[in-house]
Amino acid sequence: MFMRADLQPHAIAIAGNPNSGKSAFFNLLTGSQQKIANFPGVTVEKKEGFLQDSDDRSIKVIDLPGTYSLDAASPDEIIAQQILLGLRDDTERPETILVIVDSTHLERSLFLISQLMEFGLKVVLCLNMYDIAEKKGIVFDLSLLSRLLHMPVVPTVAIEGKGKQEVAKILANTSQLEPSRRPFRMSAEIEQLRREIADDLVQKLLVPEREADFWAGKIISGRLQSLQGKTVEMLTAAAKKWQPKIEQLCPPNKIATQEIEQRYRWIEEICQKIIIQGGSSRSLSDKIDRIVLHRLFGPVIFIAVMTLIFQAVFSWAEPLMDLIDSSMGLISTAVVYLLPASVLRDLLVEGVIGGVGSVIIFMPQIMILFFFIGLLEASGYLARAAFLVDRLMVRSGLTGKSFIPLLSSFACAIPGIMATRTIKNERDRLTTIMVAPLMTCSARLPVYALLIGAFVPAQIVYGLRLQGVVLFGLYLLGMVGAVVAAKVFRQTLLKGERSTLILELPDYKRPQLRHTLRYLWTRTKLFLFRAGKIILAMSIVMWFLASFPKNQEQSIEHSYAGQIGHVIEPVIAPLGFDWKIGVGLLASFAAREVFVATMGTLYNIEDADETSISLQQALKQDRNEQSGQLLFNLPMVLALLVFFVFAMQCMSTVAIMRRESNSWKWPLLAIVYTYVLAYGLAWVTYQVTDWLVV
Amino acid sequence: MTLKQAHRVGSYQIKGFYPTTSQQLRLMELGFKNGERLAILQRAPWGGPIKIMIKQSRFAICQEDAACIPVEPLPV
Ligand SMILES: Nc1nc2c(ncn2[C@@H]2O[C@H](COP(=O)(O)OP(=O)(O)O)[C@@H](O)[C@H]2O)c(=O)[nH]1
Repeated sequence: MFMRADLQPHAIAIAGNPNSGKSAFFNLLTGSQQKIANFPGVTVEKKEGFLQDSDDRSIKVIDLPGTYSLDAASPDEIIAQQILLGLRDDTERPETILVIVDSTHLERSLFLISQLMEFGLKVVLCLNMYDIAEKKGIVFDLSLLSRLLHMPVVPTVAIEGKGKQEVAKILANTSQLEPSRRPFRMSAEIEQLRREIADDLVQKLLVPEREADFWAGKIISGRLQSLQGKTVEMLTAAAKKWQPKIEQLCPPNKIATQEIEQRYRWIEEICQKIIIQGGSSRSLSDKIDRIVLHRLFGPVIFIAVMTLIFQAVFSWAEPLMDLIDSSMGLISTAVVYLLPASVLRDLLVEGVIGGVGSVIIFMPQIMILFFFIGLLEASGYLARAAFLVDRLMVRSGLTGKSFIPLLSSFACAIPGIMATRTIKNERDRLTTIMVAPLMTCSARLPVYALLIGAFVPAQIVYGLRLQGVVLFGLYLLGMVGAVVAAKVFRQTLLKGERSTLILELPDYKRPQLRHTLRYLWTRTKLFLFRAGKIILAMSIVMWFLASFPKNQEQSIEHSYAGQIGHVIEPVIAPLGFDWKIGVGLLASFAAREVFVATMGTLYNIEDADETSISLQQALKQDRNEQSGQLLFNLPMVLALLVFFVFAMQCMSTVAIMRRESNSWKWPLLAIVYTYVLAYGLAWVTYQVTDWLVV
Repeated sequence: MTLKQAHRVGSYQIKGFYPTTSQQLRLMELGFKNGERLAILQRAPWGGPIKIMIKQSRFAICQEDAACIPVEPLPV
């Protein structure tokens, strides 16, 4: 039986090319009544909202991912097709499609419209960015366009709210709209065969008559494979029988090519009739690009922009982080004051507030980064950045689109991993997610500061501060690790055709602050609510390990954590680590910087942080319990630093990886591979330096 | 020559492009079809992508893709 999602006359989908102002128009129509979730099984965002019409009925509005064509094959474009064609059980099939078109690119947008018409949907056309078209001097014959396409055409300016009333009025009365029809014809032989196949589909598979022509077209052009689902499997099976006849007419791919040409012929005809004046093709963006993409100035500007962002991330975040730190302290004090001493109080103060606090402390950095990524995206610079660095990234098997996510990971892997949504190729995206944690994030800095401060002499060698050189070396090590790992992933688990870069360079636009803030808010919310649960659970587990079983001295050595430390000591001894480091590594699985506080607890130093002289002294004097030698010798310190470069000790990253890859497979694999790398390279470091030093 | 070999910034016309892979069909859907005019606007440093204008849209296209699109220069 030919199964389809239920048709929803009161559901409307917004479709259109990327950068046409779809999100802006969706926000305009639905206001704050939106729901954002993921489609099950994939990491494509599902945005739904409601439009209140004049009779106070709610019309459901679904925002589809931007797409140029219904035959495209990236995950988000597949979702758009599946919804439009009613192939998803989790989403109603909309009967009316609101197509948002960038008026300055009408010709290209008509390609998608021709496909929607072919499927027999009711289409309402918004000529968005009409202000820009007017400024460029483009003049349309709107009523003729509406008559030629048999659909309402409304000029709109999404960011100013222009056209909203008219569109809302049309959407409230969709019963008045007529379903579209295929606007172009192929050669007589192909049409004949197409009719035969369509009739057969109706009779044998009970395909609704209205759609049969569309599916027959897909079978003839051999473009069923990009779609997925039971219905498609059935059609593919049915298509087998027709294969000989189709090949008799034309070699494979040829019909698909002809069809595209036929569509464009129709499009060019329409455009000739309705574009009264073409406007100038010169654009300010091209002039700006001549500098921004210049061989010499381009990279310079790029580096300047990135430096600026990083300066802002670190300097703006600092006061906020201090604020969060002291408020967490205040809350703990308040809880201690309010509740009697009990296990529950310890759980709240040390487990929940302490554990979650160690993650929340990075929220300012994360949010500031989100803010800038949002700005880069809205202004149009993100695409330019990808253009400039594509060549660089090719070496690691990725494209320029992976650059900003990886760069962001230098502050924190979380915004970096969430920013991978702009990468359309699934393999590239997963590879980027998998190597992002190797970039030196700011949570490693306290650990580096403690160890470098204590053990690397504050000397100047060849005019360079030795401590700075070591720190830079650690950054470099992470980067090289990421490039190599990406290459390995791309050639093994995520093997596949190297994806090539074809990307639109949209006109530069002044970012709308409201839009950017909304972007910031949805990202932050996603992180807090989705990752929050996992972080909370892990914090409680860590607290439990460190505080039970209860003993007289309340020392961590006799806790489960301490016991685990002792148990793993033989395993980490080849790296020069003892059980205390084992406890530190265990605790820092939650978040790297917890290592510092754990060391403080282990060495009985109150309020230890990375600058604490007494903690540094304690580390310097500690001796290995068995051999009696200094525990923190140079080979061991270097090994420990290397371990921190590679190990993915961050439960927030695990949580966000789980969410962004929609499975536990990838985060678990990331934990395994980073720990194996960390252990192996720390071992090599220890053995080699030990041999050199002695 | 192919778009990859077209070093001069300026106008070209696509001639003899017959897509065989899905990536090439995709290029065609974006407007890269026989007879279409396009302009090379800029090239990224170090053999990076090419910025071109086609049907009023600006695209960055990488060298691999550019190598499969045959073009002829148009007189200035
Ligand atoms: N001038 C102008 N800018 C617009 C209009 N609609 C959207 N924009 C801007 O165009 C950019 C892309 O819009 P967005 O909604 O993110 O596009 P999407 O990719 O289709 O969702 C944003 O910077 C918007 O502020 C419009 O009608 N006029």
